[in-house]
Amino acid sequence: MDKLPELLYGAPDIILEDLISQIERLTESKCIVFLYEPYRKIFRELRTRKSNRVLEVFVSDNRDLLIEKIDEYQFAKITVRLNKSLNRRSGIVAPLRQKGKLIGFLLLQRKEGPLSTGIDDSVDKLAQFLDYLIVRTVEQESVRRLKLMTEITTVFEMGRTVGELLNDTLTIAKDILKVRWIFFFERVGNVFELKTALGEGESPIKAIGLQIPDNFLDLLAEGSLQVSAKKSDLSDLFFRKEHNVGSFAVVPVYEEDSFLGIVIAATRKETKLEFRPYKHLDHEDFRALNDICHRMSVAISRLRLNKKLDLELRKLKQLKQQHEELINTQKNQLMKLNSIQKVSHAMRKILEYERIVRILLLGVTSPAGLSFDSVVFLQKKKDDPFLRPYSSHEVDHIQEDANASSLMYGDFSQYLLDASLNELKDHHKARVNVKGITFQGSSLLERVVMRGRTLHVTPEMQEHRFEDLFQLNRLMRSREYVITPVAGEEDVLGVILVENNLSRKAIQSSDIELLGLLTDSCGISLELTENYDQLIHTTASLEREKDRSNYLRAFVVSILQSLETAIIVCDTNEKISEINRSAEKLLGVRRDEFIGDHVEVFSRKLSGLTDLLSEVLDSGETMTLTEQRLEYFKGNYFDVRLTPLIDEETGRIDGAILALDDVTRRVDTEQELQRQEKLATLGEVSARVAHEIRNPITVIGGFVNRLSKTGSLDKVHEYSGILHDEVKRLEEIVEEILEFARTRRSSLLEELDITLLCKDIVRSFDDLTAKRGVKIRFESSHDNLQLVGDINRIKQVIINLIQNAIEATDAPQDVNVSITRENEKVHISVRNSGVKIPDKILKRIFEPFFTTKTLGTGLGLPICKKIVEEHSGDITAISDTLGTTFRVSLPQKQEPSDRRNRSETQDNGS
Amino acid sequence: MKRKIMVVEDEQNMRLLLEEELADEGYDVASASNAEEALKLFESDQGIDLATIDIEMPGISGLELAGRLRKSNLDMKIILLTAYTHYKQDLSSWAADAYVVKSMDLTELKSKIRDLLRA
Repeated sequence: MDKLPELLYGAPDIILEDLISQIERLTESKCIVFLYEPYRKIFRELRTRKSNRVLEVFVSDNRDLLIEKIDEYQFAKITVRLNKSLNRRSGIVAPLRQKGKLIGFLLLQRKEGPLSTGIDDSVDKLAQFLDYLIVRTVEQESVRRLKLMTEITTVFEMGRTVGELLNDTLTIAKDILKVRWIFFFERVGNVFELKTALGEGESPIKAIGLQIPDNFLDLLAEGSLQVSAKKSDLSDLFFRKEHNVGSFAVVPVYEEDSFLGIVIAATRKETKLEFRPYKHLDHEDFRALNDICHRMSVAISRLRLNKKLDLELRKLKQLKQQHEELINTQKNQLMKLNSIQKVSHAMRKILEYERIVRILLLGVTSPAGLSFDSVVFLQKKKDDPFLRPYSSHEVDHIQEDANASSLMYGDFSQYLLDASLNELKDHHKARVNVKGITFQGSSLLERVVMRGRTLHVTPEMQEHRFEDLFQLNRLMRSREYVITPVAGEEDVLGVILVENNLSRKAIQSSDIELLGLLTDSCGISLELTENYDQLIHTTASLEREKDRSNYLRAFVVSILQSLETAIIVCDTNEKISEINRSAEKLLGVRRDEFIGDHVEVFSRKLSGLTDLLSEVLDSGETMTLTEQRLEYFKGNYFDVRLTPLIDEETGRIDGAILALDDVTRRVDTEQELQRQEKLATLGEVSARVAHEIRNPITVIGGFVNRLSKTGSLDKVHEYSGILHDEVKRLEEIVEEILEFARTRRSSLLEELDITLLCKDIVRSFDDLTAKRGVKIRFESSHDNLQLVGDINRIKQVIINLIQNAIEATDAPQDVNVSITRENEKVHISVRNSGVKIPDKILKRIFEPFFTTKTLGTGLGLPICKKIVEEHSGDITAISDTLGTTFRVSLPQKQEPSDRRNRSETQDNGS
Repeated sequence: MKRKIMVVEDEQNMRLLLEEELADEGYDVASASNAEEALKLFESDQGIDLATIDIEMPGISGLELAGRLRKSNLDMKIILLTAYTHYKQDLSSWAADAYVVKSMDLTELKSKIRDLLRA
């Protein structure tokens, strides 16, 4: 550009404006500069600093304006397009040429007419300057692209993943092309999926998955489908119709031979003062994009290859490692096998249960043995449904590393034998205190204990069999452990559980097999020990049994002899087999003289009690007689007990024991006590009686006093009536007290018809009930119910109960008298529908002198009770909200008193 | 003016005896056969100077009656009259001014009444 030095003293746009205004001044007209865009065959208004609009002149729309014809100044009318609207402009068109090539024209908006001289020169200058700017822009652009291309190379070299590579490359490609958007669509089968999208503003892409017809694909593959400057079928394929996409380029991306996808760059950004012959993407851009994509493909391939290589390398390393591990494991197993032999050897050497278990636990955990982190031994005893923690051991890794005691011993067996002498540190105690684990019902544990299988509990199993494993988990606190039976020839003697939670070593299947060998060996040793122990135990217990038997015999004899109770033992033939010292003393005989004699020899002295022995021998039941009076012994009282001797195993009766206790003193004391109780009652009775008679006496005394003072005959009559009543009352009281105090038993026992008796009594109340408005009813389950008793007394009871029922409250009510029979007993019930009697009162209702009435002695019910009891019956009272029932129960027959089994009802011999 | 005495006694003959004896002494006598009647009488007649009350009565007992009367009227004298001696120990009997054990000789009762009414 050496021809234009004088122009280059300002910024290009200022120079440009100067040149244009120079022309405007010379032509005295407004001037618009159009530059030719050969690609679209249009003239486009040069955008200057001042202008915002861009006018376009389409050559095809303007008949006057043929490119060939713009070689001289001419007046023309041209159609210009501003955005979408069309306008007519007229003026003189002046061609802008450089090196004979048309680069644009000036439109001088004025009428036809001569132009001032010098205009040519100015136009030339302008043309020259524009050309210079175009070339400069192109060069600048090339430099920019070159720089960016270098950046792309860096990106390729730094490439980490395909995604990043794509993203970084496309970011730079976008810069290079100065496009608004750039996209990468990955080919997935027949569909192209949007993977990368860069750009600003609303995306013009039609869909994130595009279907591209085959013919387009063919075009793409050939490279003939390249760039489109305007809307077409192709742009409809990619972009939304309403979106105004300018020019765009589509480039395929290959990786080696496979079609990876397509890159689409769309809409070139416009920049002011860009002196480029055209504004859209051109073939140059397309080539640049194609080049970028091609290089990107290569980078992707390389990236993938690297990755593949890495993977292969890693696999190889792993393989090598596995191989080494395998060799190590095998070495290890061999060593462990050797140590198992040592452990078994140690276990076989001793016959002590405890120590064998210790050796097993040490062998399982010792670094010289199976080196598990911890082991628990659960014992299973015969017929015990529980597995019970017996012992456990845990490797203290720190301590183990420090002294490695097991490794320092030359002979592992010897180490185990020595170590098993000391108690192990039982870590189980520090854990959850599990007392027993049931194995029945848990299918997993049953398999171990019943069928002798080994169970490897894995974390996966934990998830599915959580409930089965719950108990064990409490004990183990590890997600993975192995449970193996310790089985002898005959039975499973326990199980051990091992785990490696602390060291996190995996439990290998070979470890489990070795563990099985060890536990089998242990099981046999334990069984041997147990059998041996049992033998010793049996021998010892036989000895003990003999000793104990001798001891017991001596013990029994001395007890028998020292007892105060007199005891006579006889065999099944009633022959005396033993007499103790007390019996000797009581009967005044010597033991030796009577052993072997028939018990009858004592029959007279014992008032025939010996006869009962044969009954006891027959029935096999114990017989007890209390407070029997024996004439021979000055009428002393005895408690007598006749007990059969029964062999516990066979149930056979071997003999009988007659035991006699002299209880005379006790009986005397009891009688004394009863007498005193009676006296106490008497005191209470007297107090009550005193009160009962004080009232009538006061009245009688008072009126007698008045009688002596009065002169009125009427008063005398009145007072004597009162006196008569009160004296009668006194008499009644005295009678009741006498009745209650009566000790003589009723002697007038006769057969009576209780049904008839009750019926008569109820009828006799007719007057009273009518007066009180009470309804009385009688019912009986049987007619002519007979019983034996004192008719007058029983009548007295029934009358009293009915009277009470009627008088209980003032309100009219129903009274029911009913008779039922049950188990040879007659029940006479008197029921009223009155209010409930409070429990507190009901409880005391049969006590003497307890009354709620102000009239009466309070002796009615106690007298009833006394009479009923004299007839061997009983009386009860029940009260609820529906009413109160008094029930008298009497036996139908009065049985004669029985000598036997009646300690409660005995008449104390009086 | 005649002093007025209320006799509360459930036993008819005893009540009659007391009525006549006290009337002979120159008192105006009103009587009730139980506590409820006595309360009614007390409500309707404000001029009662003294009440003799039997303790053992059906319904409200004499002790309770004495307590209630004492609450409504502090001036009226109350004598508890009973066949028992042990009520003397009962706290509620302290509501009464005197405690007289029944006896064929009514001299003690009469002198107690005289003393109380004079005071």
